[in-house]
Amino acid sequence: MKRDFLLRDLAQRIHDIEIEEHHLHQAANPLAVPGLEEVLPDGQLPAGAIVEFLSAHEGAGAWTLALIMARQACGEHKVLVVHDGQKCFYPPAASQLGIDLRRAIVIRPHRQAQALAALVQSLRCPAVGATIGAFDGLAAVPFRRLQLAAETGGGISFLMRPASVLRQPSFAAVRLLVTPWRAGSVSDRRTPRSNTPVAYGSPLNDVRCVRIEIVRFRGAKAGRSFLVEIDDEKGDVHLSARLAAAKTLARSARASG
Amino acid sequence: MKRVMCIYLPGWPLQRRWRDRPELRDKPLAIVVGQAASLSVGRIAGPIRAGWKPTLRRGKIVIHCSARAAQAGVRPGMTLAEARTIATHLLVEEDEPAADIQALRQLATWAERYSPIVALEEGPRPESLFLDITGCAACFHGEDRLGQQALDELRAQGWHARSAIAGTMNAAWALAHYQDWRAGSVSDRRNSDGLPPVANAPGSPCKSLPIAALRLPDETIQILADLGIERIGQLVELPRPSIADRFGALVVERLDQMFGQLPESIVPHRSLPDVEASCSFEYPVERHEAVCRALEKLLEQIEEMLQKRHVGARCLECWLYHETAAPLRIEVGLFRPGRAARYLGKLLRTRLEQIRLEEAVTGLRLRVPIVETIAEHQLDLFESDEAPSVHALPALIDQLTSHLGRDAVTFATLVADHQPEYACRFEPAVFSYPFSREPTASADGMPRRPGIPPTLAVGSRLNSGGYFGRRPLRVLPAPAPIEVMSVIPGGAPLVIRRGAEKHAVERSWGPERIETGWWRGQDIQRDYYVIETEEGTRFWIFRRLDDGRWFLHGCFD
Repeated sequence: MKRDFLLRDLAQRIHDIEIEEHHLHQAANPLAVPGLEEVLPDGQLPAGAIVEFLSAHEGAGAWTLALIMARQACGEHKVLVVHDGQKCFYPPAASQLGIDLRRAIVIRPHRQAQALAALVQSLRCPAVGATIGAFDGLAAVPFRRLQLAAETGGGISFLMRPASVLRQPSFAAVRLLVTPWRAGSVSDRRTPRSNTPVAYGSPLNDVRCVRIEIVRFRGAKAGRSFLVEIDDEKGDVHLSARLAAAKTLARSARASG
Repeated sequence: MKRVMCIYLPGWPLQRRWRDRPELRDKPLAIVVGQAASLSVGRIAGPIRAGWKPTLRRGKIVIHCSARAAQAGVRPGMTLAEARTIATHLLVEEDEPAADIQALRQLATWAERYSPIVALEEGPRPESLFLDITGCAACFHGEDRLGQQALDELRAQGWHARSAIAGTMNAAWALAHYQDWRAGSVSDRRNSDGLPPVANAPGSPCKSLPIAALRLPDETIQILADLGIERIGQLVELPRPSIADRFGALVVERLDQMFGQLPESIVPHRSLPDVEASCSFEYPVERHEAVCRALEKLLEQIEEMLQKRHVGARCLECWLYHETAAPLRIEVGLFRPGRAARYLGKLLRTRLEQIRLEEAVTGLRLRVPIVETIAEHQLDLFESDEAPSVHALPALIDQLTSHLGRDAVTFATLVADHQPEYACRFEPAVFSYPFSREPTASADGMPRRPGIPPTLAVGSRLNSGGYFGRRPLRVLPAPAPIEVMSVIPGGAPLVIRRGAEKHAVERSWGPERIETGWWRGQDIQRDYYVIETEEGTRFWIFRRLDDGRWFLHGCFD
């Protein structure tokens, strides 16, 4: 009993310290992801935070979400730094998402060790609003170095990592598990499976659904998950229509008593 | 405020010949060019060649004629045969542009007594000199006296010259060529009580000049004349957007140059010696610290030299000499021109740390091959949001480039090409666009990107209805072969297999046919599909139409 009490007390104290730290930091721009904004204590992500996107599959939508959030974090004056170690980043698609390529530096290092040093250097720079990069293996020391660099520069670092590192320790302020959500798994499925491909530009079919699970959110409650829809054409993210409809129903039910 | 003096030497090739051979002064003389060369002469506007249509004539063409030849009826633009018919005693000389330029350069060297910066007029056959007299007038008791003194001294040497002083090169050029020159040296300040002239001011003397003073093509001048617009003042009063729409962007550009709305620089005719410093050791040095200490001293010398010229380095070369091995060259590029020894030393040290010296160093040499003017910034009293971007970003790019190499730190540029592999280019951040030569560099220090088609202007969103179709964020450097199952051959994919991975296709969009690249030697014919798998991931695949093989090209991550 004493031990339980002690653990609860320690957990509460850690939580209080984290909340205090969170308020010490200068607030950054809104995240542009509706579900996430609701979870945050002040609707914003603190400057100098590390956001970890974990996904089990390539093509889950993590890069798109990170770029949309980075666009918000950079605002009009700061610069986005994309660390493209795999040389897969495709700027025309980023431009479609509203990224100003004049304010996007793409770093294509020859070695992974160089990539990490470059990321630390970028994060320390006050002109950098956000960095994005895929870093599979990150030991505790370099991770902590990243955190300190981000806190120094005030930019937000979006790290793309595989879901296999879920159990590993992390210095990220936010850990999000991103899973693709196929249209067929939602009850209001729009297009039945068919062998006939749909022509481009059909807006109803262009939106893709992604499930975001909050693994860790310093200063806020973790464990929540929600569905968002990514509109690649408009570069927007919004709550899934199904979820939004359910929320409206619940709100009206509460209002009616 | 910048002040420029233009010295115009009308009929310079004739004047040069008269100086070299005074016996030609009183004779009917014509200078001729062949038809091909005459086309380039036609670009130089001037009263002496007004109305000349070089492309309509055959054979040799008269480009200059003396007063005696003119009295006989010879005119610039005539064919040599016509001129000889009119003036039977006509002396004919072939055009010698190189000798003319050489003589004008000598005159430019002489003119350095009025200004340290003297330039020749641009073009194949220059006839004018530009002197940057900013701050020089006080040494001659005013601009008027400076201009008059220059004219008097030129006349004493036997040259026939006109001069004009204005706030821009174009205005000075126009006044020197078209203003009433009988009054001597012309200044655009003459009627403004000694105050600096206001660009585009109502009383600007440039406004009374003819349209030809803008150095526009003959066709444009003719169109303007047909509309009754003969003076620059009439043109200036028209709505600015309509000028570009109706008469072309060149007209607006020329007006902006004349009234100081576009930046311009006077490139001195005499190139300055290279900025470089070197040293040699008494005995070969192996220790890295010793090399760095010697470099620091050389960098201090370089900084001093750059400071004297009011320029900064865009590139710094460091040569390490050995006793037997070939000298080693290290290059450091800068995003923006800089000259601080400490800063350059830091970048150089980063590069040196990555290099293993094969042999002891016997000597060092530092050279700055590319210099640019450093734009001075007014310091803000209060901090602004833009300040970090302006000052910290170039330092970051320089450091990353020194650390990772020039090709690893890039800006992406969109290219109007349908083939996805060529639809963007990664350009090194340093050296890619000199700041001082980029007139449209934005105020916040970020460059406007050259070479981007207007339809693909960066910052604007490209939607599926635009130049590109829907594109994934992650594209493989080389398309990876996959196996695809369809109901009918060449139909939409049902199942895809990549190595051991197998995905059932839930939905697909397409095809988007891309047929391009024949001029590159590869005729590309592909049908692209966006597919959504049962797991919900989206891929970008294509079928090669030549052989029907399928490839994975990217994923919508």
